[in-house]
Amino acid sequence: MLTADLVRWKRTKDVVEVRPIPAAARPRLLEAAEGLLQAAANSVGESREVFKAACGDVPVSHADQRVFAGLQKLVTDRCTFEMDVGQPPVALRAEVFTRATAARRALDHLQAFDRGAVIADAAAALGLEVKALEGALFADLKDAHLLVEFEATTPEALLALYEREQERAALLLAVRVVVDIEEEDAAIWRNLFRSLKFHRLLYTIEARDGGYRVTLDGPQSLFSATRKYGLRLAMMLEPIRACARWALEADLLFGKPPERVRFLLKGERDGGPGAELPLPDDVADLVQRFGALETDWRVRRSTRLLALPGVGLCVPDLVFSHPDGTRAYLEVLGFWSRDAVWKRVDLVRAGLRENVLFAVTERLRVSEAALEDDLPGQLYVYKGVMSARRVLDRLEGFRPKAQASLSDLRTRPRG
Amino acid sequence: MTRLVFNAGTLEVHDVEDPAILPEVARFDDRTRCWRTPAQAYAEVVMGLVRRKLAWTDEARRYTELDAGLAIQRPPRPFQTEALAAWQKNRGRGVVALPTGAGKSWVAMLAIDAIRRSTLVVAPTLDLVRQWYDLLGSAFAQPVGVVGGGSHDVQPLTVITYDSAWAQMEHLGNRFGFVVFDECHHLPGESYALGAEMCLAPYRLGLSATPERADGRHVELERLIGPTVYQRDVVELAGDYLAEYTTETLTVPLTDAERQAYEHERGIYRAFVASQGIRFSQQGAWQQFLQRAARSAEGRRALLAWQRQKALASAAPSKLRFVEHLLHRHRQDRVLLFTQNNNTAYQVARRFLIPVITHQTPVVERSEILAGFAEGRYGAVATSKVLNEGVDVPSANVAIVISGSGSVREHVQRLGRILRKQGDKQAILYELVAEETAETYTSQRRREHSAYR
Repeated sequence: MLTADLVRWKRTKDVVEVRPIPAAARPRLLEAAEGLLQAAANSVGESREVFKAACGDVPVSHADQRVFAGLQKLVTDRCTFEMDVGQPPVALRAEVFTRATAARRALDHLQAFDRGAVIADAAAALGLEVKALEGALFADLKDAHLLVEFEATTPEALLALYEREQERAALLLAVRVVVDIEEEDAAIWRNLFRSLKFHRLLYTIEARDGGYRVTLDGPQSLFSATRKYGLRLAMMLEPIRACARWALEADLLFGKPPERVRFLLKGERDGGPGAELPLPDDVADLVQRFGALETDWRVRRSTRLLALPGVGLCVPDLVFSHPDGTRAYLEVLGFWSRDAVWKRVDLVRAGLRENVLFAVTERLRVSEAALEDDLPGQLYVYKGVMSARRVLDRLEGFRPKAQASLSDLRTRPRG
Repeated sequence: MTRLVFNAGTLEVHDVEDPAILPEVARFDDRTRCWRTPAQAYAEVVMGLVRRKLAWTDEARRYTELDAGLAIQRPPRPFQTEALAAWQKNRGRGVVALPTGAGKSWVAMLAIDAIRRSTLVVAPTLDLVRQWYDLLGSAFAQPVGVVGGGSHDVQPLTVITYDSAWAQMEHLGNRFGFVVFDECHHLPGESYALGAEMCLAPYRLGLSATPERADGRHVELERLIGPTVYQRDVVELAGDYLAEYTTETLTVPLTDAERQAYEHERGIYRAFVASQGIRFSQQGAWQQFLQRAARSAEGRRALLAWQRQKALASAAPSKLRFVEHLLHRHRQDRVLLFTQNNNTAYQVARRFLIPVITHQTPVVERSEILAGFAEGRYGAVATSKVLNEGVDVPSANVAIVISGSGSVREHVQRLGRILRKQGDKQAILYELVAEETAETYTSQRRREHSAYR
């Protein structure tokens, strides 16, 4: 991964961008990239110090220094270094230095310390050649580690990687990220929110034209602009990049002393929002079986996020609508954790208003009774595959009760 | 009923009827629909509730009272008793400034004994973490946890590095009622300060020989820990509580060849600086030099020239020959050699065959080297910066500063390493300065402290 100092910035007032590699510099940098890749390939079996020196020997114009340093970092990331396995240096040093102390103490004030003699004695005692001992004495230092493996690539790919990684490295300076996302695939959304949870970031979400605006930062952000969440925000770029269409605006703490600037970035998945990703197999199968039933309910892919601020959210896979105006969502939790189910239960109890059916396999050992019948959120526990018929039965339960059973209606909790 | 929850270094205050009881720093958080403060404001929030006689449930605080106090009693020195009293008088918040070797750590032990709450000690280096670990373990006769340097074991008494505190406080910030910041001049600054803010401990103690920072940010210590409640100077304590010491500055002439190379490189560097109109009397000049240097081939050569002349002055062969002479003179003593950078430290180690401690030294080897030094198996240890601070090497009686920065703090700390009283020890600090080089000025700057007058 690049660090922020290896990024080519362009600042216009309070907006910063990362600059792509200029066309004029491209041939030079391809050559330099080739040189770095060669240096790594040729240094396999040599020390890190040798590898670094070989990188230093690659000719580079002073105008390209920063990109070159970035490329060198990316090449180094593709290298595996290990300590030379020989005599453990720590033990060698203890032996040599103990002997040296004793030798020095034994001198009278006219005698001089004889380094060569101490090393020779120690080497003889350890059964090593003098040269081997000198070489092994500090073999555990980072610069002495051997380059054992290098994952090769092409100069073109390396330059492309640099440009891509620049954008991520920019977010290392971020204190907050606001991203507008157009995405219709539940799995992509879920992955995004899973990543958010994994990185322990906080978010707010609001519906916008054709999509959602998600604001990401951390608990501490309320009190001070801190780059503490920068790495985690940078790690969010990959799940964001997976979205159909997205545009982000990040607040960066930039420069010395740090000033608050904006960083803008946008992108699209191949094909953009029009190109729908296929539904997961179990969901697609359910849609097909449901279509074969005789019913007025219609089913389509859901594009909504159902959020309850401060409590959580769910990302339904499907939305069912009935001509009488009833609408209900289905979220397939399948084999997810019991914990995920309890989160949904909390969400419903905390006042989620929409009708939602959460489909869970019986392997998660939860009871449908965990959510009472009069709540808008319901659990559907299935065995093996989801039954379209059972889903239909449960959907019917969401429709306003017939006049006859009006007396059965209990008051619903306030949303 | 109001409910307090610790979340990732912040305090969530749920179900607040009257927000006026909350400290000013509290903000309503739309993301989670509750009030939020930095964890540090915990004591203030609780006091607000107490004052209004409001009931609350506390899900935030997870620290406990210690079962037992000090297992060993040792009569405190008068200034240690005074320091503790001053700190307690300020409701257990504040900084105690005592010279290195005077027994700052024991003040912390007395404070833990007085407060008897789960305690976290934050220390800047792994050497110091190891040292606190030993001290807490023996003083309180109970298991001590360590977080940092690959360990993650949390106990009611735990030692952590500043780096780990910054990274881990969002998980650990509610598990300690008392935090000790060792070498607390490290705390101010964007990231480490956050570690203090993310911790809810009501009791806080800062320890340092030199709380002042060149950048003036030591004023932040008052907010993060508390005011300086007690301060004593090295000259006030020398003799009675610290070893007697002398300092000697030795000017080492360069050989003709060294002089020539030095002047050549320095000439290139100075010509560039002059051509760019950079004036080092102005603030930010060094930053300016680095920026300009990065822009042209000429600039990069100037930077290289600066590095070369610096290396020549700090590790000139004639200087190292003089080190040989000093090592010989003190071959029956315990000598610490300080260098400005790791390269020189390793150079010294290789040349004189003496153990070296840097940040790259494995923990086990550090312990082995320090034990060997204490026992006398090793007569000298070389180091760059890692032994500057706090690490206890009581047997050391000679320090040789081969090269260093102009920092007064660094120099005072290096002197402190040989001042721990042991018998009638007479300590001596040599400072080697390459004659007629920029080092002469650096040396003057670092000796601007009462300890050197």
